Formats: sequence, C-alpha cells, structure tokens
Amino acid sequence: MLKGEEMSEIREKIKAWESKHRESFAKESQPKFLSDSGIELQRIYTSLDLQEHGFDDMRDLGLPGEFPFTRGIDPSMYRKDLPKFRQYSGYATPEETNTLFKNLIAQGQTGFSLALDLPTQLGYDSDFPMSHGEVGKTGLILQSMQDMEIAFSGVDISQVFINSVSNAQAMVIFAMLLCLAEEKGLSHQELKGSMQNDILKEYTTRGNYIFPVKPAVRLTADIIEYCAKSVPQFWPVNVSGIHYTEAGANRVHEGAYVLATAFAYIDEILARGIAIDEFAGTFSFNASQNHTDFFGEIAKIRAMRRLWARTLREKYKAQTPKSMMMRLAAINGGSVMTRQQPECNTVRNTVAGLIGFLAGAQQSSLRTIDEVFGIPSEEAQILTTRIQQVLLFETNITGTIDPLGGSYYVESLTSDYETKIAEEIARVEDRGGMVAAVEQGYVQREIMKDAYETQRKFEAGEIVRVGANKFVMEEKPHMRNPYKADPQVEEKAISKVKKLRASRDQSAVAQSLDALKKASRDPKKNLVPFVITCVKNSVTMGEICSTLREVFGVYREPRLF
Amino acid sequence: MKAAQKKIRVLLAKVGLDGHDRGIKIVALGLRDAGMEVIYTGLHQTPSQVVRIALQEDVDVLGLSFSSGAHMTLVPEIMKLLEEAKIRDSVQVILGGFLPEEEEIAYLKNLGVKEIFGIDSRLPDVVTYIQGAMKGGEGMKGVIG
Repeated sequence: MLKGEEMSEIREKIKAWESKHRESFAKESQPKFLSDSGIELQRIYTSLDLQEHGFDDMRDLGLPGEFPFTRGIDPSMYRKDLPKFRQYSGYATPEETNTLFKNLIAQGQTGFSLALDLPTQLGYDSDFPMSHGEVGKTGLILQSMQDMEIAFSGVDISQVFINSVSNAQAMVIFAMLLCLAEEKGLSHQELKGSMQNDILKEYTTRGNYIFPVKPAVRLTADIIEYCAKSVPQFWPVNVSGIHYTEAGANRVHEGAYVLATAFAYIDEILARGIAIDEFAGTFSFNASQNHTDFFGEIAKIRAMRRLWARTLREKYKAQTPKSMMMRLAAINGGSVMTRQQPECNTVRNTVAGLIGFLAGAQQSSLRTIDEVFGIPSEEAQILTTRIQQVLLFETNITGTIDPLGGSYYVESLTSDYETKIAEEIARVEDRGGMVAAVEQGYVQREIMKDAYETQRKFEAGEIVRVGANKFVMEEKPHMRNPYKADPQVEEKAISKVKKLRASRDQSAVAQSLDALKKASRDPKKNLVPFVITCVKNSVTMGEICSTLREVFGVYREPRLF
Repeated sequence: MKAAQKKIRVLLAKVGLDGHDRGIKIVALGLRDAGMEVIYTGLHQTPSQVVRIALQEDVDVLGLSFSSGAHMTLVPEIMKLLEEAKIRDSVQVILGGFLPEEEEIAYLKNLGVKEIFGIDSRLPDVVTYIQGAMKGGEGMKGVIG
C-alpha cells in the first residue's frame, strides 16, 4: 500500500512525463483505445492505478487455492496437473460412434464430448415431421436406450469420462447414462461424466430449446438435485459463456450472463430446501479465450472467478471452498477465425490457448484452422493438439502460478471487469433475475446490439481480421470439407425406431409415460426416476419429450422485430 | 411532387432446427436501419408457417438463413409452397448463412432463389441488392453473382 506522500510523488512524476511527451501523444493513432466492452485502456498503468482501484493484495489477489481464488483454484495449478484438452466426437449412427470411441481409447484418449444430432437435441425421433432433412447431420442419432447401448458397447465407462452436450432433453440422456451404468455394473456413486445442461443459454444464444423457460429450469434443477443426492462424481451442469461470445456478446455481457445464469440455477435449488454446499461444488463453467483482446480476456476470466467466489460466500453464505471455486474450461470460437488466409488461424489459436493457460483454466479447447470450411481434417486436429503441447511443454509458463498476477494493467483491468460484470448482473437482478430477463427478451436484445456493433466495426475496418479486411491477397480456392451426410441415414433411423416401437411391451410404455405426465404436473416431483423408468421400457426420446411438451407447452421466442 | 415511397417489406426466417441466429438478427437490424420494414419469425419455423406469413404480410423479399445442411431439403419445399400460394413471382427469395458449393448455387437459382449471400457477405451488399431488385420491379434477375 502506498502512503499519501509516495502517491503524490508518483503523480507528479507522471504529470511531468505527460507534459514532456505531449507531442508524441498527439501523434497517437487513435484518440482513445478501448476494449470491446467500452473499458478505456490507459496509456500506462502504475502502482497508483492499483491504489485507485482500492486494490488490496491479500484480499483481492490472495493465494492460489484460497478465497477469492483470483490466482487459481488449486495451490499447485499446472505445477501439479496440466490442463486437459477435450476431444469432440460423434458420428451419425450409434455403430459408427462406437467404432470412433474404441479408436480414440486405443489412441489413449480418456475423455470425449458426445455430439448429438439436432432432432435428438430437440427431443424429436427421426420420423417426426420437424426431423426431416436434419437427421444425423450434427452428431449422433440417439432415439432410445438401445442406441445408447450400441454406442457404448464394449466401452468401459468407468475408465472414460463422457461429457454430453445435451440441454433441453438433458434429463433423457442423463437417465440413459444412469441405466447404462447399471447395465455395466457401475453404481450411481461410481458414475463419472458431465452434462452441459445449461438451458438458459439456449434461449439467448444457441436455439436448442424445447419447453418454456420455467419448466425447463425445473428440469435442469432436477438433474442437479439428483446428482447432489446420489451421483456425487457426476458434473450435472456446465454454465456456458462461449455461446454468448459466439452469438456476439461482448466480454462484460458474457461474464455477467454466465454468472447470472448460475445464480438462477442456485436460487431454484435453494428453493427446494437444499443447502448451498450440498450442490454448488458440482457446478462447472466454460468461458471464451478469444485472441481479440489478449489481456481483456485474461482479466475477464480472473474477474469471473473472483466474483463467483465472492458471491457464493457473501450472498449465498457458502462455507465449503469447493462451492466457491470456479472450475473452468476455456474455449475459443470460430467467429473470430477467417476463411481468408486460414493459416493465420494457427496464430489465432495459439494466442487463444495462451490466454486460457495464463488465466488459470482447468481445461482448454481450441478450434482447428480449417473448421471454417467444414468438418476438421485429421491434420488440423493434430495441429491444434500440438499448439497446446508446445505452449505447455516448451514455453515454461507452467512453472509459476498466475504469472500475470500483480501486473498493474492486469489487476486494474480485472477490477474494471469485475465492476462492470457486477453492474450488469445487478441490471439482470433488477429485472427479476436471469429467468425473467430471458423471458423479457432483455438478454437477447443486448447480445444482438453487441453483434451488430461488431459487424459495423468490422465492415468499417475498426476491427481488423488479417486476410479478411486488411492485408488481403488473391488466393487459390481453399480445400473444403463439408460434411456429406449419408442420404440413407434418415431412412435407416426411421425404420429402426418404427421397429423398436412395434416390438416393445406397449402397456409398460403407456404406464411409464402416464406416470411421467402425472409427475411432471407436480412441480415438487423430481422427474429423473420417472424418465429412468421410461427409458428402461424403451420409450423413445421423442415420446418422452412429446409427453413433456403436452404438459409444459413449447417456448415462444419474444418478438424482437 | 414525389409520391411517398412504399417501404420495402422483408420477411426474415429461420426454418428447420438450426439455432444459429446471430447473422439473421444482424441482417434484420441492417435492413431496418436502411429504412425497410422487417419481420423476423424467430427459430424453428416450418416451410408452411413461413409461406403463410409471407402471404399474410404481403412481403417483397423472403430471406432465409441456414447454417446446417438443411437448405437443400427445405428450400425446394418452400419454393413449392410459394408457387401454390401464387406468390412465387412476387416474392424475391434470398438465402444466407452458409458457404454454398458451385453445384448448390446453380441448383438453388434454378429453383427460383434470386441470390445467395455466403457467410462473408457484407451488410451493405445485401441492402444494395434488395434496393436494386425492388427498383427493377417484378421478375428482376439476380444482380450480384
């Protein structure tokens, strides 16, 4: 802490410096230098700035593995465990997915994210009208427990970590995973894995929603509650920031809406009489690591981590450190890549990877340089892995924890982001919380404004994308690898599900759907056991979701135009 | 004295299950800022829902956004329904949101799609195109290749 005298001295020195170099400042290329969220960058940051931000070393920075976790959630961080990289995988049919899993396991992969096709994500079977033309295009077709069994046949799920990118119908996938575990002799206590299960972001950024907001949040909370009580090694929710960024949100909005979303889920569970420390430790997060504002991105992540810790302790009275820790995966997005001179994406990816590691993420996911053209090639996937390996094994950034900690700039910026994120969260809370803000269309409008502003700036050249709007050159046409779906995939999936429906114990199907319907009308009932019963009786994804649609209705987007 | 110019009416729609709407919302704002009347349907529309709105709202332009591969299934259906509703020639259909292949462009234009604005298109180009197409009146062929 600087004493008054020292502060005056520094202030005087800076004033003198500014006078002396006025000519140079007049030649600067812009009158102001701003971050994407309007935070103005000063010419320099000094110890005075820390003072003016009210920065207290032990209170605001603290020590790694200790509240408020600004420096990281673990006392050893990468000196002990390097961050993990996740592989995304999934082909259209359960059989192809099974082969892929076995190949990846043979190569030494121990975790993967399960990508599902759009009908599956939206709770439709392949023969539902809305599924036409969409079956198997974005991932696995999962219509029933049989498909799940085929996809994981011969796979020891106690040795692999499965993450399901599943939201609106997460409960069905979750029930299937529990049944799968049982079939493979694994108890609920032993089942490992994770689920995205972040429905609020679907309404605002990703569009894979089914039900209206409130019943959907009930389903989300049912899974979190169920895990808190009986599936302790499963991560039931991954509150997502990357989708906000990809939809165009600036960094303050991304940070605010991620946290406000997590708080909304917390409020829902607390209302069920469950203590904060019984479930908050099962929350995990993802946030973007986009290269477009190197220090801003690092500051945003540190600010989010600190704000989470502070809110959990001060507002929610959490006691357990695990509740207050933000377990974070850093992910970069395709929206900041270019199709022009795509080799430049290698640099963008490298800088992105560096951001996550300097910000203390637990996991890192990077795009491939050719994802802008279609399905990533194997070469590009290998390059992405090598980028992370070069960063982690060659640069020596892992030898100390939070290397940027104490930087005048980074701490001031972290504090600025924390303030602005907290202000936006307060605006959301003033509207009644994240659920209300989403129903009102407020969040959607803010993101839309951000996206439009970014487009305007890009077209005006204020945002530069090398190769695309600056340093443009004539190029040979690039190799494209668009996904070519097997035209038979839809037909085969339809005949498969029809066959299944005809071969089941019809009265068991009817009974289990009836029980689910009754239970879903009672907001106090946790629906997981009812969906498990359905799934065991070969009730299909579409049938379960149709029953829930009957009870809950479907979401109608608020009119923006 | 110049007669008051009728505002160009544009219906923007997301058909099918694809949830990516960043681009279409940007286009909506851009067209509105250029003085057009914009209606945006939101996500998950069916072909018949879209055509019904196009008919009801008496629109000049129908802009469809796709980023999964469903355009090859859904666009033919929409063109057929526009034909059945007898508005195929009075509504200019334009597409956006994806990177079209050469064969796709030919196929879609043969169906009656007037223009395709691939992913790297700029807003002013979309605005200019629509304004130009409207000035030319009915049956105007695609201007920008």
